[in-house]
Amino acid sequence: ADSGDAELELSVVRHQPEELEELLARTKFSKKELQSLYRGFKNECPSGLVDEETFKLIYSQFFPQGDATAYAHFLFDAFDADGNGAICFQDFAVGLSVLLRGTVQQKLTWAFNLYDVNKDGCITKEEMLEIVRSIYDMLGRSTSPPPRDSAPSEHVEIFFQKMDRNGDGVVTFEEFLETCQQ
Amino acid sequence: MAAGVAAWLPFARAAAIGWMPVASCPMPLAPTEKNKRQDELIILNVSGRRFQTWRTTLERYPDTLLGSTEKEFFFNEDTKEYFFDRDPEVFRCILNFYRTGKLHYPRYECISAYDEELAFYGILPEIIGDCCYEEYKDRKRENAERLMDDNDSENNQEGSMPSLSFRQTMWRAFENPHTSTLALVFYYVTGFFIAVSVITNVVETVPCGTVPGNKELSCGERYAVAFFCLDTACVMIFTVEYLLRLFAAPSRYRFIRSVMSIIDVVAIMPYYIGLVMTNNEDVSGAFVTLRVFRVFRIFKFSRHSQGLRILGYTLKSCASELGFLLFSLTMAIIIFATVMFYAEKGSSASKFTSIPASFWYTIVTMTTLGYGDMVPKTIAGKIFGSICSLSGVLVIALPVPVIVSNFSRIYHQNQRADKRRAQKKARLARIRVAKTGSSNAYLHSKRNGLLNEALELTGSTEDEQHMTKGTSLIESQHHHLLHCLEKTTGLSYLVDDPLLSVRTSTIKNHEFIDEQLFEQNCMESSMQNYPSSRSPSLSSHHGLTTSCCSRRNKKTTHLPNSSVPATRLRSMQELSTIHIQCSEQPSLTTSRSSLNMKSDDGLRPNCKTAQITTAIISIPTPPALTPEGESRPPPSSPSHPTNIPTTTTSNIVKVSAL
Repeated sequence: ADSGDAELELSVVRHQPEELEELLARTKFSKKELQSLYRGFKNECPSGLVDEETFKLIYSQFFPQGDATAYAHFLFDAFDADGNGAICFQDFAVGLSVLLRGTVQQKLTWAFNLYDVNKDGCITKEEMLEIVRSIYDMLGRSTSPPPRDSAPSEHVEIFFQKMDRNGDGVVTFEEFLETCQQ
Repeated sequence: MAAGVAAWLPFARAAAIGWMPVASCPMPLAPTEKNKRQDELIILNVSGRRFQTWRTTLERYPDTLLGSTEKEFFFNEDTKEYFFDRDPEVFRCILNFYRTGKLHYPRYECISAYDEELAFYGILPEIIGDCCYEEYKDRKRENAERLMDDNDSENNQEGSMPSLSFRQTMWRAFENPHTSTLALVFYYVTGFFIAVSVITNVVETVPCGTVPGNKELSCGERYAVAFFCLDTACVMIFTVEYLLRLFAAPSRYRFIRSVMSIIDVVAIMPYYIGLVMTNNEDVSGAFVTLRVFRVFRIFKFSRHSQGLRILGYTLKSCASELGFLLFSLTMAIIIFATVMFYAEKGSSASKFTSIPASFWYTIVTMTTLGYGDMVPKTIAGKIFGSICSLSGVLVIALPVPVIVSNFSRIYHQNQRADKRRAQKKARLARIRVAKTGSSNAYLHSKRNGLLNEALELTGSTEDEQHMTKGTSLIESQHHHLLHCLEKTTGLSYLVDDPLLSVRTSTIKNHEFIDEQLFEQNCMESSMQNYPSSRSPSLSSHHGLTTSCCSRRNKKTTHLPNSSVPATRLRSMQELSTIHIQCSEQPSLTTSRSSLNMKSDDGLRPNCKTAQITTAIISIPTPPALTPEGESRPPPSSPSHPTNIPTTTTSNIVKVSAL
């Protein structure tokens, strides 16, 4: 078991991304852009992998007034395409490519994926509530007027009503698409 | 925000798409990126070593020199790189800060050099990473202490010059016996008497001889009178000393409370009390006890011995360790005493009669003394006794190294302070020699200059060339500056040549008279000069003016003429227009160093006055000399740059050269 752990550690310590050419094919970035992206990525994570803790730390720096860890967790799950608990540069680049250069459909697919916490193909009210609550947490308390404790649930009510066309208590991908594209 | 994290900002912004489905309000527009450049490599040439980095790396910290447009001042058009004339070693650390977001402090670097570099690049030292921050702060504190120390002792030395009151001199004499011979004598005398007093205390208890009746007498009883006299003498000396110190002390209340004065009082009190309570049987017992306090006189030696003071100071500073030692010992003693008492309770004729009686055994055993007057007899007692002695060693050995290291640290600090003081004296002496050397050089050249002026007036020029050789450009500029200063204030440094001093007065008269002439010349030349300000024939010492004078008004305004002040003003403006020439890096820095100035600003305020004075200086000499002025290489004596003021542009430019 020990040697196995050691092996695992070794393989995690340094991760090499895919070839630049392959990434060029998979994403819509130019070579220079990919280079610049990778430099920034590698600078922050010399090992080539971002684990959840580091990701939360980085993301929290952008939102100092509130607690961004919950939302960062969801975001991490959305980015971590292969679900191995770490974001490698491919995940990062591919995700970013979708967000920045993708079609509206692709972007909405990504957003749906974000909201669908357990990745079962539909968004329940609880899932949406979790996401919205995490967004409010990120905001923090120092707004004026400060957010009420019931704000997330109210927020979810409004939107869930809008999205759930057939009123079956879950939002499917089609309903999601329809609502957002209006 | 940390440097690397900024790289994630585009990611975070992109991820914001996730909020859109549940957004209550429409999203604001994104800021447009003005002139989005492709990221390019910048070359930073620091004293010849080339560093390269991306432009965006530097722009992570826009409030520093490298991150802002301030670096454009250092851009070299010819080589298309940014040139910094600074230390490349430290620059490595600074550039790493931009790259990694963490500023490190290299241990081999001098703290003040590092601080200077940080200040130059506009980086706050507080940003230094945790790994190096402690080291940085420690060294900074050490350095500050050292500087303060130096300043203090410097002040002390210089403070002796201003008149001190008698009281202050006395106090200084007491505190520092090396200040005068009288103080030294006093110091040794008191030391001697302390020794005498202690020895008499010791000797008077030695038995010496018998008296008929077979009774052993101590020396004190046998030679009572002699000892009494000695004692009186010592106490008188000590009293006088104490009173003198009390008188001289700057703060009497504080002096009374200080440890040394308490020791003094305790040392002499028994004698006076003894005088008062003579032969009263009841209190003679107490009186005898009081005599014990006489032994405290030995502590008076601590004024004479630095080591003793250090020891005392160490003990004071290790108070907590000592306290811990005491506490743990007490705990252990009580525990073991109790155990031994109950273990030995059974045995007959045991000396362990009570727990307090066992304390003595425990202490003697734990400190490994082992007198043997109390020994356990039972087996259990022996077992616990051995445990007691083993643990004693441990308990005592633990706090001792801490105390020892404290002592060693303080002792070495003191050694260092003494060494520094000795070295400082030598260093200051050398610096003083250098300073007088430079002022002597100035006076020498001034003498030459005045001689030249005198000669010029009379028309003879042979000796001039002879005089002017041998002074460098920097020196000549420095001397010119000092000359300007003299002119500003109207005072002058002493030139020890009576003949010359007469001539200088005549020269001054000429200067004022010819101002009108100058004004006209200025008018003409200002017309000519302005367009030709970049004439390449200008001599190199213009560079100096560019940096300071050119920052003032850059335009000539043709004022209506006539008033003398107006002339000066105009000439000043005119002088300032002339130097936009920036071919050479201003010898400003070099002249600054040679002037030993501590701040940049020292030079600039002088500029204004200097310009006025150059106007004055510039007047006088008859135009006949102008051609000569042109042909001669940059002049060394102050009068030469003044040759000017006439029609030739290059000469006028020289005027403005500070």
